[in-house]
Amino acid sequence: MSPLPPTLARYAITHLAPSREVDFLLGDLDEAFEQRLAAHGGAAARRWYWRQAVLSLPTFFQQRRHRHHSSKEHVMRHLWSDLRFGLRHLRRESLFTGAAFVTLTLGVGATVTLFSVVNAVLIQPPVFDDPEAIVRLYETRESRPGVLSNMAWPDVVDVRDRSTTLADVSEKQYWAPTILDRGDPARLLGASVTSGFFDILGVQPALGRFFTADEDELGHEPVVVLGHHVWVDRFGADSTVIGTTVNLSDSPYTVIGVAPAGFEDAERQFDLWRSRPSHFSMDVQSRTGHSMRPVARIKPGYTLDQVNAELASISAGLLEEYPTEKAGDGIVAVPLMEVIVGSGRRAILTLFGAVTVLLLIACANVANLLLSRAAVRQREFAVRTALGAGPRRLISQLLTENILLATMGGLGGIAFAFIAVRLLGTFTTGIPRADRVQIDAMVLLFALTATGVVGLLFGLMPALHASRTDLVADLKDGMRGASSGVRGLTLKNGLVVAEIALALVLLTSAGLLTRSLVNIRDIDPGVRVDNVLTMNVDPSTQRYPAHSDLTRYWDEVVMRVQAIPGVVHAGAVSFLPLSGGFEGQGIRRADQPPPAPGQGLGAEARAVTLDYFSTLGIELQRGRLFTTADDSASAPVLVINEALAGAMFPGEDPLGKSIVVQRVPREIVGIVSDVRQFGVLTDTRSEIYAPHAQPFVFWIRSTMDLAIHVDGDAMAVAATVQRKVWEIDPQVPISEVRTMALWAADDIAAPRFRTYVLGLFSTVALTLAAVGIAGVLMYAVSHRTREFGVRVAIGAKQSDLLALTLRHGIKLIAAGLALGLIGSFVATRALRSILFDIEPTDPLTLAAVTGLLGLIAITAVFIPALRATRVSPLEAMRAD
Amino acid sequence: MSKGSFLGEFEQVVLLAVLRLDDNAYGVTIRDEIDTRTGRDAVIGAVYAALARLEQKGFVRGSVSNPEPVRGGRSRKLFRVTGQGTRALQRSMQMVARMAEGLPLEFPS
Repeated sequence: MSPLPPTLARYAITHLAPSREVDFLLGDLDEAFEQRLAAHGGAAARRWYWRQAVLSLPTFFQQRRHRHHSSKEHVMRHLWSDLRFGLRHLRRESLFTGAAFVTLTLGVGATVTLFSVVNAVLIQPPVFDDPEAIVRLYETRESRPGVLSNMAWPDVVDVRDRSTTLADVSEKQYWAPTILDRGDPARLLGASVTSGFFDILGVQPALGRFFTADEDELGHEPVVVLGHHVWVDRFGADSTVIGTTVNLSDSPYTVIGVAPAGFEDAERQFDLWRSRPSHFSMDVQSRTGHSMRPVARIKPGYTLDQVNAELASISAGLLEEYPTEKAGDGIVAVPLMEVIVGSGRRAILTLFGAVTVLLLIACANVANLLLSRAAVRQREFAVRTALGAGPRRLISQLLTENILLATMGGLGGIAFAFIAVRLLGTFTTGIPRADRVQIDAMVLLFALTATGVVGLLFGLMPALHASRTDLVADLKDGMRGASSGVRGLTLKNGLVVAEIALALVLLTSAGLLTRSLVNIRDIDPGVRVDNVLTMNVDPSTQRYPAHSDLTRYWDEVVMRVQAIPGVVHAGAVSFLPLSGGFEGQGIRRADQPPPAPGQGLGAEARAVTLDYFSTLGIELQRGRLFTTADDSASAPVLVINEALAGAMFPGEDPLGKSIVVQRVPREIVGIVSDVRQFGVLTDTRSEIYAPHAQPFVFWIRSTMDLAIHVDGDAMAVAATVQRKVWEIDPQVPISEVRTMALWAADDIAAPRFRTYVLGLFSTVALTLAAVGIAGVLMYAVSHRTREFGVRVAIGAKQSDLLALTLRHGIKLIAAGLALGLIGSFVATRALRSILFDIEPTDPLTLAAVTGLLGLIAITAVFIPALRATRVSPLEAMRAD
Repeated sequence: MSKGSFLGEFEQVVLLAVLRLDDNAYGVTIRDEIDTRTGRDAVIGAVYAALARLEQKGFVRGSVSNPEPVRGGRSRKLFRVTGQGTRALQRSMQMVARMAEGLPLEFPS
């Protein structure tokens, strides 16, 4: 047995030498090899062969490059003809093109939509300078772990004086002045801040200037900085506003500057800011007050952990100095971005999971479509190769077509995203920063990149596959193309099964979230939600200095409003349920000794007018409600809720007993049902109600929320109610006129958003999966045409062919559903934390969703199945 | 005269080898002929590259022979010099001769 030339060297030459010469070259080398073998032996011959192979490589490469260079002028011509040919082909294969276009549009569209949301909520930096270094300071309570409260003013001062890791700390306290000039009387949302505030946030004024240090001093001239939107809306963007005086809550303030547009604070968009007020009320100066919302900037070079460590030691120092007031309290710093974005993150992450799954399905679909097409065109490529087209030419042709397709899909996706983003607007109330979601340059750039990647990915894959055409085999027999098609069919089958499985996972998630949402909607907030109009009315303490003035005012308001035809009840309360407002008070039982500092109970406290409970449908459980007899002259009384009764008087009857609030014992006269003040998804808290005539002395708040139970559409009486209120006093601002139903809707905004979005995605996924399975079966039918023809010729009936195809389809669907069920079990576990009152493995949901998908999939299978029945034997024989 | 009608040095040698080999000029024989007569151990790839260039310029013509009458016999690509090629060779050698005229160089035999 004579030794052979080295295999590896031969292999290299086979693949690297110019194709035209390869055979001759190899033959020559073999001949020479034989000669040397005979003359000098095997080792010498092999060495010679290797030398020839290796040293020839540079010339091979040179020749390749040379050939490429010479055809440069042909490239442009080829590109143009590629495009024309590609377009023509895509138009001819309209079914394929349509399916691919729809798939790409949905896939790219969903991704772009998600990205625009992520961009607005998570990525886009706020207007601040170096936002990472800005923190918000909170007070923590040992007895309520995880709850962050506002700080007391003296503590903020101490932190500023004692901290070495914080560059500056600014106080911030809510301030809600009423403005009467330049428009309707309204209550504005503002803040009192120290001069470092804007510097800490690192913003520059749009107009004028910000506060200076001497404006922090008590007794300084009152000055105010306007928020940008207020400047535009109320002051007409007048640049001469600087230096003018504006009347706020009956005090004159000088406007010194305007904040930049888009400037946002952590909690809300403020209308205006003033420098530290000229006097602080007593409760603000107390160490147990909670009205400060300080922001601070970390000194360069220090970390958040270092800041928090220092705050812990400052807090410990304060505890030593004021053991009674500061017992159980701590101070913590939280990055401002965290505060702003925090709640949005979870919604976004849910979206992310959904979109990923959707994209996978879309990709599987497109891959399927392209594979089918490539297989079908193999004959065409074989012919073209025989006529002299090089593989490079064919690849560029395919690539052009696929890039064309990807571009169309990309444009469609962007259009889809535009619409989706607009629709999204209705669902994103309650998601922070969601109002900034829009298609901007950044998003478009992302869309183009995504399209490009998709195009290249799907362009290259089948193109490479097609370039390896076996010329002779493909030309010889039309069915030979199908043998690679059989291999392809397995891949396609696999892809479809995967698609169905993924679609099932999405659908299950959507189903679970929908049921969860329904459960949430069913939660009784404890108040009447339908046909209730609410508004905030703010008679200032300057116009009604004595509490009896306020009481008289509110009695008048309620009386006049109740006289309006159509009004069933009207009542006022210091904080409307579900509006998020609250005021906590420390309480203790009158018949027990005062608890140790930091160990006392707290309750949410509200002042109410007489008809409040009936207006909002809060039921009296035991005892009585307030009457006109409960006024400023009679004994102080309280109504408590069931939760407090259970917490403070377990096993006893609270009626007749007293609770001490602000050092005044008050008798419990009634127990009402619980109200979910902070939202249906929060726990009930202890609540105490006091009649408006008997205020809590310590803190006087004149503004109240008016609730009106209307017989019919609540908003219909809105204008009349406002008119009646203004008849009493035209200078009392009214704001936030909305229905209770709207408050309730806002409350569940986040779960609603998630549910709708997931529902949208699952519908899309369902469509794609249906299209996918229909496509694969279409292909299977078309390549079994000859086989069907034969069957018909030997006696098969149409129904047999139908059954054949259906069986294929059902097998795929069943496999997909089975895989999907397993996938669902795994994937929905991640949803556990956001599901309300329903298990991730809820059998009813799984069954319903599986049934739905199965039904739609089988319907999709019917189209190709019917096609199969229409095969005539003659046609089939002539099929190739 | 266009650039494409000039001969590179190696191309010249290959062309001459083809002339010498008459009916039997193909890859291996050309390569061996050059090796034997000039001692230049050319690599087969280089020979093929030169032949391709010469073919492109029109100086040689390649033809595929019938397969050898043995089992698994292969066909070879045989080359012949064209009239154009002959003229190019002559031109080339004339150019060298003219340039060397009068110089104290000797053509070794």
